[in-house]
Amino acid sequence: MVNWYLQSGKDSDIVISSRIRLARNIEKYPFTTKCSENDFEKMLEEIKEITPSLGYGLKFIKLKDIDDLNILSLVEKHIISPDFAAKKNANGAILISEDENICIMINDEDHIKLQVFSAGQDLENLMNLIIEIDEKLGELVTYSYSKQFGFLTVSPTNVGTGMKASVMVHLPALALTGNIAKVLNIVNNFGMNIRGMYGETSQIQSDIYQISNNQSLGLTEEEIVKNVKTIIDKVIEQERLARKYLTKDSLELENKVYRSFGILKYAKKLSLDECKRLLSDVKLGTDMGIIKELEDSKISKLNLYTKPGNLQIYLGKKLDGYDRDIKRTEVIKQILES
Amino acid sequence: MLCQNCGKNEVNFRYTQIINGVKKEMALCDKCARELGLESIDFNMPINFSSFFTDFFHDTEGFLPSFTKTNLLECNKCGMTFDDFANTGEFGCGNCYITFADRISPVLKNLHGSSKHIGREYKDSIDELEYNKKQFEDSQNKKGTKKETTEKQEKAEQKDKSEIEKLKKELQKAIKEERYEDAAKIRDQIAKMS
Ligand SMILES: [Zn+2]
Ligand SMILES: [Zn+2]
Repeated sequence: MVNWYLQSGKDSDIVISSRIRLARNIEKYPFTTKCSENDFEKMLEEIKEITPSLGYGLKFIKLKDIDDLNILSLVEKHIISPDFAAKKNANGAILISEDENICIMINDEDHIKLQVFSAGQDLENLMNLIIEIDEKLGELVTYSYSKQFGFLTVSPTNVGTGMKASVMVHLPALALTGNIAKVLNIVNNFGMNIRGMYGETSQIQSDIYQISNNQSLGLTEEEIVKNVKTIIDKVIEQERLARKYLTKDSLELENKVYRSFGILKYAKKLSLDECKRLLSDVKLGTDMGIIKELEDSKISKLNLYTKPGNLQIYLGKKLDGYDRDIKRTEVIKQILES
Repeated sequence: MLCQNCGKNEVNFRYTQIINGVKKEMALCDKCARELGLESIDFNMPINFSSFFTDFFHDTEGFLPSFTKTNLLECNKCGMTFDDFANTGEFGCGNCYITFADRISPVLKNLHGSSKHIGREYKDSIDELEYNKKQFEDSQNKKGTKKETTEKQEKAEQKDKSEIEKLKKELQKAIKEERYEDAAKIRDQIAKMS
């Protein structure tokens, strides 16, 4: 069984993955903003002790006991946040399941950030899973909760349900047809967060966006998931329309995706940025059935193992930036020929 | 719509800044978003300081002792003041929510469109709302009785206080409605009175 980030799920031609987070704090300790070293130590000890009772095969690992490469790998898989990784503080820890679909971050901004992940659009199942975990954990520790404000968090932006439901989408056709800004604006106006990644170049290289709910208070968990799902369905609809529009000039489109595929296949040196852009085209070509020689699983592998941290893990050795750009092309060939 | 920064290019990204609990939407073009260092961040990420508000609160702090005093409302569990929260956008413990309940309700309404939790419930709640608040009031009262002021002085102070109190409310309203020029005027008026 491959891990979720190498699988494909519902609407995988557009939706890469889904994630739900719940922010929680333990009542008897002050928030991380006011915790003393002693508080942190006691809290970590307590969480370590209850980890086996929580189940799911969760393992307690202190952040400082994970080497830099594996930290980077977790960030690249979007399993821990870059901020949390950058802190790499003595007080950070994770509770992670064998197949990495559950990862609880300890002492990021809040004491506890429950996270569950899945390939494709899968928010409803994720909600059921995370609520189940939350109910168990809420018995093992006492949360900071108020009837008026709900689950209390460091930042008022997360208070209430403490829930953030997010979906990562690939929107190359909306970008190519010049409609991306319009769609993202609408999504934003519906109270959603949009996170896009800029590269060194002016263009967003991979056309990947993360869309999540803004509002965590005054809505039920079901409503939050329903709202995000509704918006995502609309975005999917628009992206599919744009893809259909692109097929009007099928030669242009075929030319574009096959050129990128060609470079990806035969280049001897590839920067991360260029690689991301090429993979975006190749994924579009594959998802639209133009490129037939690739399976989804290979695209997921290419996406993951061309990233700096996972590239080095794949090859089992440390490499500097220059060597990575060369070795990247070798890894691509290995995956393509596998 | 044109970019709020350069006024030239078409808006590509909107993001919301939360400054001292006040929501402000910015609409920028690709180029400006990048130049302002907003790449690869949440477009709706709460940013706690904007130069405008930092300056604004700095200005007030020095010559507005009574203005700062009200912000000294302090959480009796973690010691966080409302000022600390306004500066960082972060609370120090769960009890902060209870201590600052009246003040954060409008902030929460601004952020979430609501200040009442209706999601899943939990067995233990810290809403001894009345208890926590009362403790705070008691401690304030104690401080009050220790003060050795004559009745006259007190009365005069009270009159000034209520005037300033009124102005402060207007000031908050002006900030909330983003009437910054009015806010500056009211701020100066408060400064004159104290
Ligand atoms: Zn601009
Ligand atoms: Zn507090």
